[in-house]
Amino acid sequence: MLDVQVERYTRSGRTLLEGIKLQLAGGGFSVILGPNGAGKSTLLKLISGQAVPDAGRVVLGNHLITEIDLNKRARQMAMLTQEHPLNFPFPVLDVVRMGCHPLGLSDDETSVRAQELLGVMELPEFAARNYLTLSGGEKQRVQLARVLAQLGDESQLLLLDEPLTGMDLRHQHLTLDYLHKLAQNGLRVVAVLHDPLLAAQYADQLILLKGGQLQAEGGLETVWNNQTLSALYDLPLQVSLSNGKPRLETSVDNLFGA
Amino acid sequence: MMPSGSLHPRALLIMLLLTSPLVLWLALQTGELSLQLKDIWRETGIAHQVFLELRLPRLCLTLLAGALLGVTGAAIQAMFRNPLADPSLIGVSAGAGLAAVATLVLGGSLVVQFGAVVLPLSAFIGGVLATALVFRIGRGLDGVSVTTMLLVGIAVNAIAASGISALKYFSDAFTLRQVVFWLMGGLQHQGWQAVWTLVLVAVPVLIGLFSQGRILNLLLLGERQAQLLGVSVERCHQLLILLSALGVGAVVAVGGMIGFVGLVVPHLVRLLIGPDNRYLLPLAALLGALFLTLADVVARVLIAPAEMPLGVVTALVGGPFFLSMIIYRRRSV
Repeated sequence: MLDVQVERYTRSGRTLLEGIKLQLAGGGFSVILGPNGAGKSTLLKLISGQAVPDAGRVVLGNHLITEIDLNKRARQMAMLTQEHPLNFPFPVLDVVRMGCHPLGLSDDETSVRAQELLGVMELPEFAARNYLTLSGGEKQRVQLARVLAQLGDESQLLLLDEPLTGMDLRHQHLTLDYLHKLAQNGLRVVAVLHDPLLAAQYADQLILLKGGQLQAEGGLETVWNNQTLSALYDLPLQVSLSNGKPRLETSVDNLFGA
Repeated sequence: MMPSGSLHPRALLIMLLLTSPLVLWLALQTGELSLQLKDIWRETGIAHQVFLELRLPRLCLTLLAGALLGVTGAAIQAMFRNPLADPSLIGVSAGAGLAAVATLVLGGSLVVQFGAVVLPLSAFIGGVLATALVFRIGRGLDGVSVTTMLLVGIAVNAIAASGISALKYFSDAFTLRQVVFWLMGGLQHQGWQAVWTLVLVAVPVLIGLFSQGRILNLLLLGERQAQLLGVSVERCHQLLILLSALGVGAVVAVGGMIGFVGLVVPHLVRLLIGPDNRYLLPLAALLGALFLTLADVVARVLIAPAEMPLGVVTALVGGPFFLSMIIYRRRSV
């Protein structure tokens, strides 16, 4: 159970988030959507306890997220950040193995686990490669494998800031499908995405953020309509549901004309 | 782009251990007086005295100082998440040096009586302040940028250098000579007392830093990323700054400015075995010990019978090495 109440979060005089109330039950896949600068990453930062709201609170389980011991928090919550500053030439397998750190496994166990997750990300033959020589999308998949390696028995929450960056279409779907399955098995997954159609296909809750405020929140039945989504992105969008499958069309003929 | 390192850490360990007897023998052999094994054990002979009072303590000093410089270099590079960080480049040594010179010049009778304690202590404090300063200013979102780090290092080095100049100006002839020789870096005029000082520092620093290998690997992922994996980053930085400054400070107090060892040694080890700090830290200590001992041998033979200051020799090796690293990086970026 995740309870997010951000009444206000201000940084150097600018209010970045305001009036956000979210109650997320144990398992499920939430996706945060919104234009650049809407406060999506900031919201994840607050949820993860790496920043504290000026007014409000984030509660995971029964505890304030900022008061959970760092090690315990790492066992309850894993997070993929948007940037990956690693610039030392580690072998790929070692990078993924680092994700196992909070679990206290033996060296052999972490190797097996890391290899397994490289398999999930379809990079099994990359284990011995130098991480720095990978392409952007491959690096992203390795980092995601590392974060997935952190999940264990105590895990409740998985946060992902733009997990699909640089990935080809196949691996975007593969990743979302895997996250969807994790969510079905009782994990709360919260991801920031940029593609509303992908989000609608896999998530069971969409959180629409704009200008630091919650614009709408809910399943497809509440947010999957032209008005809400067009307003979110300031872009004329035609959305529909055919047999429960979401569709999306963009009419961008005259974007600069008006 | 650096290769990931193909040599197994154990293979490098064995290679270094096999080389070490040769290095130790060379270090004990080199000098004005050539020592015969049988003479060393004759307690009345001059060979015995030279061995026990000059060669052996000097060997212990180069081993300990080299190990400390190697391991602190590796640790500072991991903390700065930057392979170009080195205690002498970023001003840690200079900060420690300024504090030590200040104590030497202004300390008066304090130095005469408690020099073995007061000098390392002041060098340690100077080192902590310099490291913390460079780290705080140079630290950005993606770790510490090379440019900022080196610029802050230039500033700290300049401030320390002018401070030392001012102190030299005010010191009397005897102290001035002491300061000048000490600044050039060398371990030739030290005895067993200096050895014990370094032992006292080396034990906690080496053990403390070796135990941080896994955590340092996580720090390389990024500070936020490490924190999300349960690492208390702030406390970890404090520990690293304290231990590194303690190690560098003690070496500076005993041997003056011996630059570039902390840059060259971890870099070579990383080239051979990869960046895993669990193996890098102990192997950098071992290679550092052998490297500095060899450099000290070179210092003794280069212009024999006179001696080259040790800091000059390490800079002669390290300077070009540093330049080649910068050229290499420019090509790969």
